[in-house]
Order: sequence, then C-alpha cells, then structure tokens
Amino acid sequence: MQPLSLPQDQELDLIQQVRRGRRDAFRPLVERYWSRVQCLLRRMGRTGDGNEDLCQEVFLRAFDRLETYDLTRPFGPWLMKIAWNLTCEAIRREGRRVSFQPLEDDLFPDRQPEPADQAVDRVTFEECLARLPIGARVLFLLRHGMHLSYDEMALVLDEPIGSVKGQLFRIRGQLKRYLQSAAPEQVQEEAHEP
Amino acid sequence: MTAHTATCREQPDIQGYLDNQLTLPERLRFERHVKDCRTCNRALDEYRRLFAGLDDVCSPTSADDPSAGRIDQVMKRLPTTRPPVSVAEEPRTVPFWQLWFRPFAIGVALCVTIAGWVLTSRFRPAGPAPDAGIHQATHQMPMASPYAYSFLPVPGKPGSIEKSDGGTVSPQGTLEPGAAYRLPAAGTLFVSFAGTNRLEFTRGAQFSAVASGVTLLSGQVLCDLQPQASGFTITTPAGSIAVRGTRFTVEVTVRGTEVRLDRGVVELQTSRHRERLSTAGTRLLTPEGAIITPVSQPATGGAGTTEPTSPANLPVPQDPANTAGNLNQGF
Repeated sequence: MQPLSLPQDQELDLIQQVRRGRRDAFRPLVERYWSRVQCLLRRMGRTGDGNEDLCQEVFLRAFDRLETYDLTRPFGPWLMKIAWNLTCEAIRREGRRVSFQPLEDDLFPDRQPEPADQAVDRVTFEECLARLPIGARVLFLLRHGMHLSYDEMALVLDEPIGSVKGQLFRIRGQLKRYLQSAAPEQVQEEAHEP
Repeated sequence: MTAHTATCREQPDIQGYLDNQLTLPERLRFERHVKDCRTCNRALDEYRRLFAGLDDVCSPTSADDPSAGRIDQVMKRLPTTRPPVSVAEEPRTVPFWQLWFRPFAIGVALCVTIAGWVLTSRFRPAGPAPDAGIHQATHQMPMASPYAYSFLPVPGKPGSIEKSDGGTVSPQGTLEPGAAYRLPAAGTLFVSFAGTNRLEFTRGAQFSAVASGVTLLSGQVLCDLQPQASGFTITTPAGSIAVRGTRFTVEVTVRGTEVRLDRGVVELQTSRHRERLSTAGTRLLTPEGAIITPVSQPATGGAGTTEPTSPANLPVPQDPANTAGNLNQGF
C-alpha cells in the first residue's frame, strides 16, 4: 500500500536536491507522504475529488515553501502542519470553525450500547472517531495515525504541549469508559471475580 | 473491551507508558508495579487494546492511496523555477583551476586509500576463519555510534560478546556501526539510541547495527521504539520489518523470521510479499518469501532467557542503577 519508508538521511538528501533545483527529487517525498496526508484530510471530513485536490495543494505548498523547512527537524510534522493549516482554511471557507476548547464530560451521551457493540470492532472505533470534534479528532490522527510525539503535535497544532497531552489523555479515558459500557457482560463478569 | 472495577492507589501513568514518554527508571518502576498489581495489569491490557484499535483506525488505508496519475499531476504542477536559495547555499563561481584541482585531489586520495587497503590486507596476520554469518551482516561504517549498550549476563552462565574483528567487547559501551556482534546463548544486551528508543537482544543474537537499522541473522530482538524512529528497519534473512513507532519482537529461527507485534505499526517485507501489521499479533516471514500467521506459538526458552512479550516478564537488570548505568542516561 505505502511505499517503503525512506530513512531520514535519504529524505534530507532529497530535500536538499529539490532545493538545488532537481524537481524530480520531490516525487519520492510525494509518494511517501501522499496516503498520510490524504488520510488526515479524509478523516477531517474531506471526501472525493475535493480531498485529492486539497492533498495536491498540500504538496504544492510544501514545494513552494521548502526553503523555510528546518533541515534539523523531521519532515513529516512540517508537512502535516501545512496539511492542517490548509484543512483549517477550507473548513473556515465553509463557515465552520475549528476549536480546541475543553470538551464535554460525556462525548457520546446519546448513544446507548447495543448488543452488537459487545465485540468492540473497527466499526465502533470508526464511529467514535467520527463523533469527535475536528479539534480533538486531529489529535488522534497525528498521534495514532502519524505517530507524532507530543511536542511534534504541539508544533503542528500551534497549541501548548500540556494542553495537547491533557486533551489526548482525557479523550482516551472517555473513549475507554465508553467502550467498556459497550461490553456490559464482560464488566459484570469481572465484577464477580474473586 | 473489558473493565477493571477496583482502583489502585499508585495510579501509574499507563498512557504515558504506552506513549513511550517515561524515562527508563520510570518504565522499570511501572513494569515492576504492573507485574504485581492485578488491577493495573488489567488496565494496561485495556489501554493496549484501545491503542491498537486507535492505531488501526487512524492509520492510512488503501482508500488513501493516490488515484491513477495524481502524483504525475502534482509533479507537472510544480513550478519550474524555485524561489531564490539562501545566501549560505547560493552556488558560487568556482575559479577554472579549482574545477580540475578537486577531481585530481579526490583521485589521489582514492589511490592512496586503495593502496593502503591492499597493503594492510596482504600483511594481516593469518588467523582462524571468521564466522561467515557474522561478516555477512557487516556493511556501512558511519563515524559516530548512536548506540549505547549494556550487557547483562545470566548469573552462573558465563559468556561474552564476540565481535567480527575479533576485538574484545566490554560489558558497557557503544556499538560500532557496521560491525557484527554475536551474543552468548544466555544473557541480554540492552541497547539504547536517539532518546528513549531501546532494543534488547537475547538468545545468542547475531547482528549488526547501522544508523538506519539493524540486521539480525539469528536470535531475538525486542524493539521498543518511539514514533520518531519511523524508518528504522530490522532486516533478517527472510525479510525486513520497517518500523512506524512501535513495540514488537523479532526472532530469527530455522522456520523463518517471527514478528510479534505488541503495539504500533510495522511493515513486513519479503522478497514476494508486503504486509502492514497494525494490530497486536504474530506473523512468520518464511525463507520462501511468504508472510503467514503461525498456527501455534513456537516453543521458546533459550538457556537463561525469559520471554519478553509483556512488561510483566521483561528481562530487566536486577539493579539498573548498578548493572545498566549507561542505559539510565541513554533511555
């Protein structure tokens, strides 16, 4: 599915080649990061051709601004920051807003556990992720999808590292409690353990 | 997903542990606590399942692959001229004589190097034939070693690490990039690099390490790597495992290369197949190039080793402050 990973020194070499004027050296970077950027945009609610067009814009802007990229830092988070900024611009154009405000205590209030949820499957996780506000969803995509560290996430989102970490922990806790409630039989079973 | 009903007074940082944010002493304390605390052990399992589910659902799928011609479109739309480069990188005009002097100087340096290499290899004292397996793993030789190590032998089972050049290997130090090492049958080699990334070699592992990854010819390595280590690759005779920030074990046996993923994502690659493994599970990379799910777990238990598949039985030093001092700094 994804192209094989490029070690960071190879990535750096490609970026330097692009800076020196070799446009072709940009292709492996596009091939490597396309699906990650597209995944982020898709999960943010962009679909179809609009998603791919925006994905294209991300790479064009990255190429355009490559001179501003700090070679001592990883390329992935820098690219994700461009993707996130473009996503926010698109969301604002649609009249919506992205907020990092503290979340409600119960993110999933109106959904009662159903028997089918007892096996917590991918569909359940998909649904939970889709229910998160965009500002919270992006945390999961950056951490669990792109495997960025807390400080890289803070850099991408322009948020203090403490609030990134706090928000992530809090939502995970809520998610865990929700998924537990979706498996009531198992909870009961364990409650009766000696 | 299950629930733990009781509470633990210590309230260890389970999410921080799974996110690789704890220091080595904190990790060791956590692992010791979880080993004894049933409540936290259960909570850890629950969070592991949660993390695995989130990893799976947040990672790119085939739906995110570019449609036909999309990447070509991007390449076509790239501007033909780049913005002006910074002063430091601006190409400068080179005097005519320098154009010829540089290749000449490089040629002379190359000749001297080759001559030196020929002379040293001719006058090298005869010795026992080195292990072919070990030398197979030797390749590039960067200048500085990013790998700090500490070897922990099993009490009562003496043995030392062998190195491909026959040099002695002290119990603590740094691994020489590109050099091949072989562990004794018993004992664990703890390696740390680039912050909190760590590797634990056991079962007489034969390996070499370079900046971009490890070549494992036999034995076992447990990897606990940060997301920043993405791109780090474990290469084995049956295939390679590319890391996406994860915790997993690789064991090279006669059946092939067994990869047990505990958390995170790895990409498995053989000569014939490629697979992305994003949920906890085991795969066998066969010498024929297949990637299969083994029907049953193979019998394990090399002399003096433990099964490092969960924090509860990680082979940690008795007293990390004394036995693995450099790791306290490296991890």
